[in-house]
Amino acid sequence: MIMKKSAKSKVLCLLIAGAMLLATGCGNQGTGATNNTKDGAESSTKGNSSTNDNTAMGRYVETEIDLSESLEVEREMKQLSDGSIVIVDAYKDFQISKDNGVTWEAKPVDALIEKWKNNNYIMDVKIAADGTLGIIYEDSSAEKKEDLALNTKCSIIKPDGTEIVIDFPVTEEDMYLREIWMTDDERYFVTTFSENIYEVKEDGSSSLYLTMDLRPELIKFQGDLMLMDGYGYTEILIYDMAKKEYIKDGVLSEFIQEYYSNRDYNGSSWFDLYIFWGEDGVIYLAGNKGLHRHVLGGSAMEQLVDGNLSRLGSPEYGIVAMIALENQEFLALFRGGKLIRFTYDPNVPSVPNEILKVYSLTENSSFRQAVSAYQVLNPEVYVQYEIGMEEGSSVTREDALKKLNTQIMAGEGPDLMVLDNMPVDSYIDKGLLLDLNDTFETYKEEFFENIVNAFNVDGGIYAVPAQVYLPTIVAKEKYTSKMNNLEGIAEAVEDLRLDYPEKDLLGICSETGIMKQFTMVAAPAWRSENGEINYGAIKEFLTLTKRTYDAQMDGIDEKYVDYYNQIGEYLQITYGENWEMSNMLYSTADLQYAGGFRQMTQGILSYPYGYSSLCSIQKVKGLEDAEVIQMEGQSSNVFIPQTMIGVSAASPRVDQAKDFLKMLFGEEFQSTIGGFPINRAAFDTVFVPNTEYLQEDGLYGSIAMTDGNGLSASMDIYWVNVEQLNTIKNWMGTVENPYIEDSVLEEAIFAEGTNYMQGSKSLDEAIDSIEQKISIYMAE
Amino acid sequence: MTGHVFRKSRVCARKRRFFLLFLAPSFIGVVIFVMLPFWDVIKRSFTTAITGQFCGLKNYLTIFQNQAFLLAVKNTFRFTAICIPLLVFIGFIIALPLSKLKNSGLIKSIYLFPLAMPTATIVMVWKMVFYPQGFLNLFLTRLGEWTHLWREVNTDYLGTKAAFWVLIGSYIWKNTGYTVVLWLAGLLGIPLELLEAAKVDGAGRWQRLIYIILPNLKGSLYTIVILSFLNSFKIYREAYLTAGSYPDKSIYLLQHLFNNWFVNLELDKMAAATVCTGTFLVAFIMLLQRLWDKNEV
Repeated sequence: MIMKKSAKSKVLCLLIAGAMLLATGCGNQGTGATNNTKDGAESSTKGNSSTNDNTAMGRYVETEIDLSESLEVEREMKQLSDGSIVIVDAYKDFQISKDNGVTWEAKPVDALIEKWKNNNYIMDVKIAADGTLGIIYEDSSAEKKEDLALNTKCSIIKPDGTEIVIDFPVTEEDMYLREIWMTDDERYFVTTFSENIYEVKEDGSSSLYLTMDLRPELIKFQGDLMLMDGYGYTEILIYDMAKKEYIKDGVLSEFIQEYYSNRDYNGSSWFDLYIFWGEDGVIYLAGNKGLHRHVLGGSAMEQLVDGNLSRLGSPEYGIVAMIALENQEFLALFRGGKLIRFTYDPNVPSVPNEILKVYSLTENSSFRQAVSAYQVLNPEVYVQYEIGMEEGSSVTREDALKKLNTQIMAGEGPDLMVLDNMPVDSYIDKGLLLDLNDTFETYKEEFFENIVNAFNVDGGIYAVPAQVYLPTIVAKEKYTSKMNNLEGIAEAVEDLRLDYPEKDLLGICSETGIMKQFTMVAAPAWRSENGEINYGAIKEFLTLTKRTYDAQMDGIDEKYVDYYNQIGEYLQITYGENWEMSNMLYSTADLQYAGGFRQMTQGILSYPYGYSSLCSIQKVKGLEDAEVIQMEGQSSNVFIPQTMIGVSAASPRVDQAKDFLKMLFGEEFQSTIGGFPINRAAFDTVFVPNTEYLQEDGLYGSIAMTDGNGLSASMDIYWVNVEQLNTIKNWMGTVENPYIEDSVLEEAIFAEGTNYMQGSKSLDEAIDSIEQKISIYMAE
Repeated sequence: MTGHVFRKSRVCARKRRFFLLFLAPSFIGVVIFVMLPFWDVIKRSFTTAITGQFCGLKNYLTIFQNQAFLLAVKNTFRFTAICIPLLVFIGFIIALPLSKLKNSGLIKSIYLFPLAMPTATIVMVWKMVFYPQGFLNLFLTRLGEWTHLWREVNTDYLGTKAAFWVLIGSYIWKNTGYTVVLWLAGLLGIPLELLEAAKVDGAGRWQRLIYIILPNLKGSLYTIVILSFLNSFKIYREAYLTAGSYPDKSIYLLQHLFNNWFVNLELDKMAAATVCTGTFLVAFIMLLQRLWDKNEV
């Protein structure tokens, strides 16, 4: 009996001990690298063999061939019936390869040369398998049309040089011919500005073939099947030209909706998702998720190349064309003349054994570009990029952060993080972030030290932005001379109202919009060094922005207010975007100012060409005295950090993470990511113009716009001169106050500020309400 | 005699074995999913969040100096202290006449309807009716103006102190049906003979209620109070979905604080606060049980 009792106790103890053993995993920290190989293999590419240590082997490896010098406007890449591969360029010689894309030689095309000589603008050029060319061009000799319609023509040029000009009656609806699409059995189709698809024939005739709901931007043929894709297409359309009916493929549609629902076609120049035919009935899809193979009507989408391990995943590489070669290889042409050969290597692991985990709360194209670049440079490392709030998902910021924090606490957190919109202060306070002093100290002179030092917390540097934006104002000197602070801006806007009654001054017609516009140069002054809120500064902010708002709205013509509201409604209905929360509203608007649609432009300056554009305003008649100045508010020398990077102190792969940083902040990469780089040499590089476009007088390009009322404006862009370059360099060298959005505080200020501006609350009542609203937030 | 004792003890042993066998799954579940994680929380309440260094009582000192924690505790306590007696009372008042009806099934179902409604739907309706121009918002405002029953006339019942009473109303509305059903079960469980005997002895309605019905409902009361207490924590879903992470101060509950601390990785503070809250809850339930046991004796 005693023995039995003791046995029960033992069983009970064992149960508890077992449970405790199971639970020991709960608090395990610093084990981020567990089971990496297995995880990786699950999302691997075409790994179909394995070694003794169970590592799946086999992956497509990439070789880059640089044809940037030989190509300018790439239109197509095609394997001809004789086996040679041709890259078709609208403004350079074709490139031809007779050894499966290993070597390339230029092939001048007489028909195109003639068109160039006649100053005909080439809209499109394509080639058929037998070498027949199809060209869409604007006839410069024809009489100009009054509206936006162009005098476009279509020519078919047979391999023997015979040119057939198609008699094409372009309707008012069609406006102009856009692109030509050629089958392998000598059928040719033309798409126009409208949704019509015409078939053209070698006898010079043309007929309407199909009218789509939405214009196709990409068409591919195999036998009688026609694949079509375009803006607004929820699925890829497959049309059987023989049976004259559409073929449904549920698996393909689901895949598109899940992974490529927001694809772009960039004016048919390069594609977010490029579809092309392979063997009979096989469709390939190339995009940032990698390369997928699908048998038409089949039940699976086979991933051949993982986008995370390939250049296909990089936003820097816009895919122009791709073809499947006979030996299971692929050749992809990217914009900028980069040609990538995908070759299957059975001897490399499907997924690299080393994994570097990186994280960002939202999709960050600059960071994705960095991930891809690092992946290419380090094929032995798998950079696992996790996005907390994937585009189109219903995950909120809070949900994403809670998931991330759970991962961190379980020791499964990322090694490197993009800290934008994340609780950076708390992460620093908790010791989550690694002090990057040693990394940046080594290369101190390479960076704008003032920007790096702006993130110094008690001697440590825990977060550094990869790029920055600059708050800027452009107005006539008479007004900018006053704009030394927020009060000066309010005063200048009041002056503008006196000088321009009824006109739109700022381009923003709402209380929240005006407040948000100037928050970027005011918010750094709202908190004292110990983190407490300076309510006096907020009070001053509300008073001054009210003055600015009142001046903007005083006597303004209602049409401007209506137009502003209409854009907001359009964005809300069409894209579900809150315009007042969108950066688009708060960016500088060069052309609107130059065209007289508003009387000053203020906001975020985010790229070098934008700066050139702002500086070019001085060349517009009547705006010679316009000045580009740094926006100064309650705080001066403000900058907006972007892609803030931090490394996890608990990461077992700190060296790799630092290696990633070295690439990310290196000159080569910094000069490609957009924004203003914090690397000095890269900053100089981004201000070197492309000499191909630069003319002797500094003219670099031009921009044009039409507003909702049909008024249009255009402006020539001149590349910055030395003085202008030195000015912005000086800004970059002196900025010291980062504007980091505090959504809780700002929401409270905007809500109560609106009440104050609308007169439903007095200033003191509004401040009291703000204090009430954020007291809990501050107390936490 | 010895044989009889031996047989009896064998029966007892078998019974105990079955008892343990039935207890084991739930016990193991509680150990794995409740006790051990809670042990981990207790451990973390004495360490720093990320580095895991022992920091003594620092986290406890921090939370007791934290105004947000104190406010959340106060609001949660206030909410519970008002809601539970109110709910118990209202539920009983409704259940008492219902217990005398022969066919009260339909009425019971109607009372249970709010419980079956998804939280998201309730929140949407809330937002609509309490929108500054929403009908309930306007109605309450007018009512306040006419009756002068409440000191200040609110125009935004979800954005001011009045939000607390909106939350109370929602809780009562949602949980009354459930409480009524529990009371009904208790009321219908009282032997009719007892009530008939009291009636024969000359006891009036009021006396029967005080001396027969209420003493027989102590068991139900205990269950109702515990369930109402636990349900009161679920009101956070409505409060969060309606007013977000930072609602009006009056409806800022402990769960708001925990949620925000989790988002900001303040897990050390959260652990300490959880230990305090958990300890209080266990102590409260034990106290109730003890009081009940005492009365039973």
